[in-house]
Amino acid sequence: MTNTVARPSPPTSPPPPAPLSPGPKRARRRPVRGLVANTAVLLIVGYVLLAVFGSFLAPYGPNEVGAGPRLSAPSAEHWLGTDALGRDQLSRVIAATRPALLSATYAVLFALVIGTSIGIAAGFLGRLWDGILSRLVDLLFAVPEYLLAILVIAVMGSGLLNASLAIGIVSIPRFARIARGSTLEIARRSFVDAARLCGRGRSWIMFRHILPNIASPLVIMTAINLSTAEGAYAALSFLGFGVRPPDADYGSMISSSQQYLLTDPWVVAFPAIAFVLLVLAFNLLGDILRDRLDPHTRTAAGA
Amino acid sequence: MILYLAKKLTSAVGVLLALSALVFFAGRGLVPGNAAAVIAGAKASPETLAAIEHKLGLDQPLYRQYLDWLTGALHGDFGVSPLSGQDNLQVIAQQAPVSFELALMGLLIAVAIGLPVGVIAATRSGKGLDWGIRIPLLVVFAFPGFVSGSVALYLSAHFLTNLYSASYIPFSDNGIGNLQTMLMPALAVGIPTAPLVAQMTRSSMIEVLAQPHITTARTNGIAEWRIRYVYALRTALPPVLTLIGFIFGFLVGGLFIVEEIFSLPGLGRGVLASISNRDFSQLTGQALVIAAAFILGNLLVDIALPFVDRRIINR
Repeated sequence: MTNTVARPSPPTSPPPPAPLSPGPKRARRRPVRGLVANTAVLLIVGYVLLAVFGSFLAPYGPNEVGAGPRLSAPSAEHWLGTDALGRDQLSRVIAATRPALLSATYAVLFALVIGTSIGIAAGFLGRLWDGILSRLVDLLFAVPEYLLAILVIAVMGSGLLNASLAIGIVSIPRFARIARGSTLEIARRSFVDAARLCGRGRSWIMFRHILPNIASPLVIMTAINLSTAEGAYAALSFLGFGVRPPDADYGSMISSSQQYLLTDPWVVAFPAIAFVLLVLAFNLLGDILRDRLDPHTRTAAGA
Repeated sequence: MILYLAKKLTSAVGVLLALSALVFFAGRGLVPGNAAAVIAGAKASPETLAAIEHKLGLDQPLYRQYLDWLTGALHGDFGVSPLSGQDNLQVIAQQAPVSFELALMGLLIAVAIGLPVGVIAATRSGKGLDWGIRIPLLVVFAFPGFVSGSVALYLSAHFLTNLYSASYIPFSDNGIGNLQTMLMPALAVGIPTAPLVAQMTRSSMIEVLAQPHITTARTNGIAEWRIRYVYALRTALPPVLTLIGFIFGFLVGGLFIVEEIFSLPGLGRGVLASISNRDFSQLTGQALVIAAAFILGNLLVDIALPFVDRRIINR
C-alpha cells in the first residue's frame, strides 16, 4: 500500500472518481424515495414514537396482572385481547417496542464502531495488522452466528445489554469485511498519498480521509443489520435470554404464549404481527438504500 | 487445484481448533459454578465439593484440562457428562441426525424456492413485477423462526393433521412418518431463508445479464430461455453457492428455535439444555459438531465452486 505513487496508470485516464458509486448510466438519485420507502420510514418513525411515548398511550400497565379476564379475545376494552395472566396485550405490544429498538441500536452501534475500526485498520495499515485482524475476523465469521451469540450469553448471562452485546460481537465480521474492502480501494487513491505527503499521521488519514469515503457501504450495512439484529434479539428473547420475564418483549411474549397457540392463536398472533412489521420496515429501508446507494454490493440481506 | 483445496482444508482445521479452545476456556474459566457444584448440590460441604472436583479433573490447571480433552476428542472420546453419566458422543450422535435432517430439508426448500424466484425477478428487473416479487420476499424474510414455526405448528395441528406429531418419530422407526412430520419444521426453517437465496440470485443475475457475452448471445439469435437459464445462470451461480454455504449457519440459528417449538430432540435443544445445566463438557462437544457441520458445508461449497467457475482457483 505504501508505494502506490509508482502504480502504472496512464495520466490521460485517471481512475473513476468514485469506485463505489454506480456506473455512468445510473445517475445519482436521492437515496430514499417512493411509496415503499415512505411506508418504511413512516413505520419506523411510528415505532420509535411508541417506544419513547408508549407508556403514556398504553391503556393499562404492561405488567398489570388481571387487567382483564385471562385469554380474552380482542374486544373494545382490550383491543388485542389479554394474555394468560390477564395482562392487556396492546399495552404489552407497545411496551415491547422499547427493548426491541434499544437492543438493535446497541448491537449495531457496537458492531459498527468495532467492526469499522478493525476493517479500516486492517485495510489501511496492511501487513502484520491485516494478517492478525483478518484472521480474527475470519475466525468469528466461521462460527455459526446464533451458536456464537448463545455461547457468549452462556458466559455473560442473559438480559437486554448482554444479549445486545452478543449480537454486536457476532455482527462485527460483516462491518469489518466491508470496511476493509472499501478501505483497500480508497487507500489506493492519490488524495491519500497527498495527505501523507502533507505529513498527516496515519490515524488522521484513517479518520478524516478514509472513513468519510467508505461511509456509503457502511450506511447500507447498518440499515440491513438493524433488521437482522432485531430478529436475532427477538430469537434470543424467545429462548429466554432477553429482558427479565415480567417485562414485555416480543420474543418472550411469543414463547410464553406458545402453549396457547392451538387454542387461542391471537395471543401469539399480535406480538408476532407487531414484530414482523417492525423487521419488515427495516428490511425495506435496507433494501432500498442498497439499491440506490450501491447496486454493486453483493450482499444478501443477512450476509 | 490441490493447493487451493489444501489451503481451504488447513483453514477449516485451524478454525475448529481455535473454536474448541474458545468454547473450552470460556465455559470453564469464566462461568460461575461448575458441574461439580451442580452435582454436589447447594448444601454440600467444601470437602465433598473438592472430592468431586478432583474426580472430574476440575482441580487441574485449565490448559492441562484442555489438552486432555483435546487428545480425547481426537480419538473420538468426547468425555462423559458428569451430570447424567451419559457418554457425550452418544448423546450427540442421537441429536445430530435430527438437526442435520432439518437443516438439509430446510436448505433444499430454500434453494428450490429462492433460485427460480431470483431468476424471474432478475429478468424483470426494474419493472412492476420485480417489486411485485421483491416485496413479498422481504415480507417473508421478516418472519423470524419463531413466527414461521408458530404458524407452521398451528397449520399442521389444525388443518394438515397427518403432518402433525406431538413427538419426534425417528427415521429408523418409520421413514415415511419421519419425513411427514419433519416437513412442517423444515418449511418453517426453509421458507424464511428462501428470500436470501432469491435476493442473491437476483443481484448476481442482473450483473451477468448486463455483460457483453449475453448481448453477443442475443445477437447470435440464441433463444432467450437458453440465454437465461444456461448461459447467465451458470455464470451467476458462484456467489449464490457461497451464500448457500453461509446459509447453513443461518439455518442453525433457525434450528434452536424451530426445534424448541416442535419439540424435536436435536442439537439446538441439546445446546440449550447443556447451558442451563452448566454441563460444559457436553456443550463443548455439541458446539463443535455444529461448527464443524457449518465449516464442512462451506468447505463443500469451496470444493464445488471451481467446477462452476474455473477462475476462482487463481484468486
